[in-house]
Amino acid sequence: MKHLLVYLFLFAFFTSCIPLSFAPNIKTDKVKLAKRFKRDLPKQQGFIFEDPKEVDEFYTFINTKYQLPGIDRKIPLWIDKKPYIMNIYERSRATNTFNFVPFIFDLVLSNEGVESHGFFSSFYSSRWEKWFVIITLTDLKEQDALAPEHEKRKANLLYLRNLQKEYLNTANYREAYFKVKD
Amino acid sequence: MRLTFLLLFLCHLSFAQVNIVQLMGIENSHLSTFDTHKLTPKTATAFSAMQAAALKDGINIQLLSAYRSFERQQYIWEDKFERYTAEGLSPEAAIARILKYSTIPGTSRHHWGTDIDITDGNIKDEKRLLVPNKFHNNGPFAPLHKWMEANAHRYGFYLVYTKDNARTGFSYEPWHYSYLPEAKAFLNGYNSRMAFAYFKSVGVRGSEHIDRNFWDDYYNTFVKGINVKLMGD
Repeated sequence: MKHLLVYLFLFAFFTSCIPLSFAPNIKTDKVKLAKRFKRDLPKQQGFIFEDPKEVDEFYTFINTKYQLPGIDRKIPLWIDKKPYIMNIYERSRATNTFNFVPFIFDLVLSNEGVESHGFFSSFYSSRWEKWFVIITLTDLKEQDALAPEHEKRKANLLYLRNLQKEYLNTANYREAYFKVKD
Repeated sequence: MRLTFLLLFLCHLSFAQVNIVQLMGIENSHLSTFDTHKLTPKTATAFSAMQAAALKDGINIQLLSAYRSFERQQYIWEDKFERYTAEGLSPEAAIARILKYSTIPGTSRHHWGTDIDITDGNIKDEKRLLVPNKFHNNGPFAPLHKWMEANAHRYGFYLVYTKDNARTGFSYEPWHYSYLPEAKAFLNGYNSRMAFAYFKSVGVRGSEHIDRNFWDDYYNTFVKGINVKLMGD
């Protein structure tokens, strides 16, 4: 029994991988300091969600919906008759793992005197990337409109959640343009 | 008289802080009431002084229109849009016709509380007041126009839509004056992109025929198609 447990432990240890960094798992959305999510982002609350679509698709959706000229990522926006500037960022986060099995193979081959030259070295680590959309919202007084103390935070988050739903459920973005009057 | 000009000069030195919500006529907490109208306090003070001076010369300047809300401008716009399209004009042609004298809601200078349409209160029983010819030659409002031409600038008021062939946009309006010291700053503070975003979000009738390119062109041609003295920096 004791041997069985040792074998099971060794099997699990060597066939699994050691995670070096994790891409966050966000089911619907998360509101947190954008800078904590990615260092190059501003010190402002960010509305964050995972984007399963192609790169730049969210920009295309927003540009179509608000009829923007193209590359400007500062979007003027009105929520309940209050004006805001919405900033959009797309950032990736990766899960990196260290894989033991190929490393051990190379180690064993090397100890056996076989010149493997790190034959499996390209498999030592794995990387899975996820893409996220991060939205910040600033009011006319240049205050963070998603900050917990902002008087319109609740309404602003509701608006952004609806925007996210619309984006994820819309294939043809011309539809989004016609919904802008909602 | 000297004291009045000194006070007006001091008024010119400080400007009210307004934002795009106020410049689009969505909110008007920066305005004060003047008779049955609303104006910025500084415009009201200057207008009052001008009105008193004109009265001494036998001209009874009366306000026909001053501040106008976004909703009011929307009503004017939609009423004209419906009438013109009912007459058989295409939406595009109807919009072009509206733009001879009326602005797109959210872009009117009347939203600011610095702009006024005036008439001469001494002239009674005149049915259609805002007709350019009535302000010239032997027209009933020619004396008013003449007095304003000579004196309005002393109080900070300037004609907005001048009779100038080089000017683009709205037709000549000899009744529409703007209080320059504030209006110039307001034009500088006006955010056309933000205004467009609001206009599209409200669902004004006919707005589906106004896209971003149209809006930018309109802004440059009409909103900025004013007396050069009133142009912002």
